[in-house]
Amino acid sequence: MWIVIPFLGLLVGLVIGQSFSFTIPPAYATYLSIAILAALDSTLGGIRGILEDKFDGIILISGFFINSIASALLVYFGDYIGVNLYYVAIFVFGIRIFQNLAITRRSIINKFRIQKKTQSKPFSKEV
Amino acid sequence: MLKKWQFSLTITLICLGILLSFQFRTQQALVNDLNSQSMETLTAMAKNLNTKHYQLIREVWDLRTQQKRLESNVSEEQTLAETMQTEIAKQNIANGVTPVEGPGVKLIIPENNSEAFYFQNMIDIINELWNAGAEAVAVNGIRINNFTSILPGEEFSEILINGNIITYPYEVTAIGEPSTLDNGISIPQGIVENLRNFYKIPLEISQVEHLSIPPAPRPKFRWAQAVTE
Repeated sequence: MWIVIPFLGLLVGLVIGQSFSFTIPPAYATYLSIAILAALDSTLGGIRGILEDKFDGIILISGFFINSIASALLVYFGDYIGVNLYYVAIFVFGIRIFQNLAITRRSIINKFRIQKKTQSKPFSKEV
Repeated sequence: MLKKWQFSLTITLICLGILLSFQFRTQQALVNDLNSQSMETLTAMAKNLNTKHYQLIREVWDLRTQQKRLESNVSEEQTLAETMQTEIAKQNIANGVTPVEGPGVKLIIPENNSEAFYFQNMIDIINELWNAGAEAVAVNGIRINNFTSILPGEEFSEILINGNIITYPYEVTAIGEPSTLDNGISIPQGIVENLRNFYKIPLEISQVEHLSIPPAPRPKFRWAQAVTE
């Protein structure tokens, strides 16, 4: 139940994005893709934080926007100076996404296991 | 009530959704963009456009020749129509069924004491006018054409033209070249000379610059059939 409302939010975001009539010019497509990678990374970091009870909403939202903008600016700056930082950013964010995903997976499986243990031995402490 | 983390996560996911949909749309535009097309598609497109181009050039050529042909047809028909119209106008003048005007001569035979002028003289005068090159002749306002009859009336000085009685003064008008007509009628030993000198009839001939001659009634052809070659 706790997961439905945020994912509804995702659907709402998709719908809102489709209804916008203006499109990003194709020249800026690379910056948009790197911003999305950064956003995905922040989101997965947030989900991991929820599962580890270390969640901080402000860090999530601030990280989301600042990481996206900063990575887009970084790639743009890289084009400017001639170093293709696009692949660097993809590499870094890719690693972080998979790290967060792995930790999230472990957290969910551990929680699931602990739940199972407490369910099967309800009066373990009382003995 | 929303838990604290749910709120932030929802906002984050909304923004993520917006970004993702932008990316989808940009990607679609990029795929269809000409720059990112493969070599094969580009060559196929170029070939297609070339064949279409040649087809259109050929079509333009065909349409142009067709247009030229139609234009020449139209001008042919136009000249045909014009020639026919002028032919018809000439025929009408010859038949005497249209009013005509032009220069010519006017003959006036006034009332006189001589008892010599009768319908045959009128016929002779008209005859001489045709001979002299008249294109249209009228007597007292009645057009003379192929179907006009000139007959004697009851009295000697009366003439019946197409059944209409006319008397003095007789006015004969003829359209043609004025001096030619005048000379043609006034030849010595001609009718006019005879009438003037022999019978002492005071004819007056005058060359007129502008004569108007009325039409004769249209003839009806019930028995005559044109012979087509």
